[in-house]
Amino acid sequence: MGIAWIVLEAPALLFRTLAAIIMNAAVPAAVALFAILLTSSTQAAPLPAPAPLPAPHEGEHQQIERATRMIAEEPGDAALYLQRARLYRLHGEFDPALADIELAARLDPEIGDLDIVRSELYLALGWDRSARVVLDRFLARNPGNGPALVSSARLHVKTGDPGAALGEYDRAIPLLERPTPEHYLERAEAASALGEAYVERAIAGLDQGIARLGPAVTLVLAAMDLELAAGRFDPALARIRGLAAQSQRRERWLAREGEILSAAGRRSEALGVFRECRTVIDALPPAQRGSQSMIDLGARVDARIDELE
Amino acid sequence: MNRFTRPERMRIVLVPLLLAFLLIASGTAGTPDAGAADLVPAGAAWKYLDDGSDMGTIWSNPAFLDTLWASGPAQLGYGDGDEATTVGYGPDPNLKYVTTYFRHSFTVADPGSHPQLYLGLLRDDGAVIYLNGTEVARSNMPAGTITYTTFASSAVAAAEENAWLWFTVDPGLLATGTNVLAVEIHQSSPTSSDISFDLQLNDEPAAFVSRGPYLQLGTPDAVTVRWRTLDPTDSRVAYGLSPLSLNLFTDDPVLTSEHEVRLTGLEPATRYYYSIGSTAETFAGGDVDHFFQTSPPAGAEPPLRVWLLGDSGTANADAAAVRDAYYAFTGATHTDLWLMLGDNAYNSGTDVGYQAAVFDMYPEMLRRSVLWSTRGNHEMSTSVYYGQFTFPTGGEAGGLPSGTEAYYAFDFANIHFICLDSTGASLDPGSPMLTWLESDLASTAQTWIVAFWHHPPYTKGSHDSDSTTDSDGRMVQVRENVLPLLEAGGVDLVFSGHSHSYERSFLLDGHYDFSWTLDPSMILDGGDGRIDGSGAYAKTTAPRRGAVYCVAGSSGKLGGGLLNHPAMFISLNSLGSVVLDADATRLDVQFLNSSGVVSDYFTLLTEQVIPATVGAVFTCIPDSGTLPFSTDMWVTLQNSYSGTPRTIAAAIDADLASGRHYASWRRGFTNVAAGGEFTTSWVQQMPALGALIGPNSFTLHAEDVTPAPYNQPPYPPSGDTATASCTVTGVAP
Repeated sequence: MGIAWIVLEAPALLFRTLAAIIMNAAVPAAVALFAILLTSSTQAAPLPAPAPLPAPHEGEHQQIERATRMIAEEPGDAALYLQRARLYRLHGEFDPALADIELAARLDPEIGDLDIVRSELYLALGWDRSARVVLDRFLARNPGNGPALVSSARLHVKTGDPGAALGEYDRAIPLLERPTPEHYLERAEAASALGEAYVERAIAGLDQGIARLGPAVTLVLAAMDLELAAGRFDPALARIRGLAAQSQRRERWLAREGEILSAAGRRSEALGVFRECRTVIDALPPAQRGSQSMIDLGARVDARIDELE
Repeated sequence: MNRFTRPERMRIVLVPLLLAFLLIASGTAGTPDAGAADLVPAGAAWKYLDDGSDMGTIWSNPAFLDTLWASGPAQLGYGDGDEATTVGYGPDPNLKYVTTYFRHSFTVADPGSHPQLYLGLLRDDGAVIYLNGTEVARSNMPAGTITYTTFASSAVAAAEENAWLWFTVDPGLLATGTNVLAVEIHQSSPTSSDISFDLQLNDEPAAFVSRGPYLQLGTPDAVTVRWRTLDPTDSRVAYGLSPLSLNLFTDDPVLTSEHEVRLTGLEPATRYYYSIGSTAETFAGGDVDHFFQTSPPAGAEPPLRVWLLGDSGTANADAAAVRDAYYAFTGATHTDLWLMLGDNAYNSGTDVGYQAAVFDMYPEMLRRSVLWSTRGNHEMSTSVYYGQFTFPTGGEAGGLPSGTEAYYAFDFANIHFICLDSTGASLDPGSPMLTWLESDLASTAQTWIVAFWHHPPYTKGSHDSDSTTDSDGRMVQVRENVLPLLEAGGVDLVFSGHSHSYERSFLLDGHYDFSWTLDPSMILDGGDGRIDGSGAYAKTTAPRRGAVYCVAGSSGKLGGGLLNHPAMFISLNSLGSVVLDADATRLDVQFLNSSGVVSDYFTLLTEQVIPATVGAVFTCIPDSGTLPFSTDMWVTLQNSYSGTPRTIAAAIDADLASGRHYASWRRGFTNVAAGGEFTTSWVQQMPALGALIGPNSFTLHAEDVTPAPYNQPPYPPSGDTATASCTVTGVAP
């Protein structure tokens, strides 16, 4: 734990935790209010204002109530406190979440997800440095934990270190049981943020995702955009034509193809593709041709045809 | 392992059964040896001791005398209301006895005829089970020595209370003659509200399949069959066009308890019968109850039925009532597919919860109809949720590849279904899911688009879609960021859950803000949507054709709420499910309550264009003020048709002498009979005379816009036209 954390965030954490525990103990509102005021007045560094307690609503509220009943039945079960802490966090009730985490830590300092839950809460609170400390501590003990590595990578992105994020994503993704397009897209964004030299790596990472997940539209489009940014028009065209081939309708992809050709300076080819797109739109059944998205697309295509003619 | 079917087993144990019968007849106490089926059936009578005493370890000995204990049939327990026998917990509800003891004796004539044993346990909270004094299973209890003050490891709640947990038991522990099962149920805390207990001991192979079979990822030429077994085996699905002739099979040699077999090369819209098992034996199926029907080809227009359940995961009598009402309603009509709208297994979507709330609740539906699901906020375990389901990621079923099972699309006949993840995916504009959605919408060629996800855009039930904090604001995000894409893409129906009520909107368009911003212009059809009421909602060719939004989250519990969202035509605090029927030109939606009563219904009709010819004669009658034109117009439908009478919209489209263009729609013809020719005339008020001096040309358009449009058809019209001209002379005033 770094000196900076101790100086900047530890006092606030301590006081907020105490305040939360006091509030959980259902002391009079004035005491709780005093505790919150005390907390805010002793913060050494600006911290986000405590989230307003939202009006209870049945779904999450019920879950919290149920967790509370289970805790009442098994007050020594640290996992229950962690479960409730997660619910509180999702509900935007950060103070009781903090209190539950600290109680869980007191009951079972070695409980598995403690630092993960803690880091999630710190991230939600905007306590990035504290989240970093906790995540690093967790990863030191669990270097092969894919979800924690993803959290770490996201934190690196948030704190402006895409290079470190890229490394964490590279480590995390192969470890994930079910990676999603989002993971590959985030990694590509991290790589792209490092500059032109990393575009190839970003594209390669997306192609890894396509190889593992199949030709997900989001991955293909992202790769196509990167190809375009690098001035690689033919690979971009190949990608968009691949999308058209797997679609029941082509007009959206034809319009993109026309845009790529136009950007590549291949005006006559672009004009031909835009005209083909217009023909395809006109041939759609009335219901599809008349949808707002098709009317908008048609207008854009017509404008491009006018420009190119 | 020996997993014979029941008839085979019956033959094998015939002699021991006869022997057992003789023993029973001579007065042996306890459950007689049922032979092949249940050594101890669920619901059996048990002796029990509920006085909070410390019985040490002697009580589990088969020789222990329990004659003074009370007795009663299972389920035993208290606090849930579903007990057949209510046991006591002592005088202080805040200091309930920790341990309750149960014993049951049963007779086995020939232990050798039970080569394997499967023990099913229903427990709340923890249990330790002994067979003839030897511990054979422990559930939700800590390791080590158990005493009468030992608490269960955790509290059990919701669907998990009704889940059967299965254990294999060493059959060598069976003795000839009387055997004794002894069970201690432990509370998780002195204040816990309930305990539950039931047990069954079988050697039936049916119990070997502890989950399924269930059908996933159906397409016109493939389907995935899944099931779970107590022990790992290889996998085989045998199938064919008759239950008597399962002449095809697909194997998977991998030893597993979680079986997943993809059948390919199937014929579209075809019923196949099937069985599941290993390469060595059949576990289930091969009868008229085990079949699946492949999807029709995309674009086909057969009648089809879809069943939708929202928030059904209570595993209780309410969920069962909703289920039974639908089963009675649909009768012999096959359910082509069914959708779960999330919160399928309370309270947190655990594997045990899913067993009780889904796999034990809907076994008949699971083995005959393909299930598709979206994730609710109570599906907290993504590993459980995605581990047990198989959804498309690569466009296998007709949508564009999403690369994830969280959101996906599939075609069934002429309907394009879109499943979104409102629980875990980002709902921000430009996020991956919304990027995929926009592309998918623009890529489908199906007649209808039906979307479903968990968090509703409009609700005033147990959740409030006007609250920016309710559900982390996800209902607001859905409304603001998802609906514009869907409506621009031509979505017709949207189903959600989350609020435990049924709420159904008017035909809406463009309502993306809070409920108090709902403007009359956003309600494209404020009627009831009923053919026998104010008329069906029309899916026209207009750019903004609108959609109907349904909250259907009352399939397992009710949540009340104000139920007064102004976008809703009807809001009901009523248990039930939704039935969607479709054919070539219409979608019929019904809300079926748990008593089997249809509490709401409406219809969406698609536009069916009948080509028409049109002719017109103009008569110019200029006068000094405005310039009326007398117009005679006739339209002839070119094709015969069936169904409702047609509605023809007519338009006048003029290029005026002044260079101005003038267009105006009329709805000149309604209720036009089949194949008939009909005429109409109107007087069209034109612009001021000055704009008309000189030659003017006019075009009349006629277009079949059945059902009646709520607003103008798109311009320019696509129907037939007739032209006329008229030269106006005179001097402009």
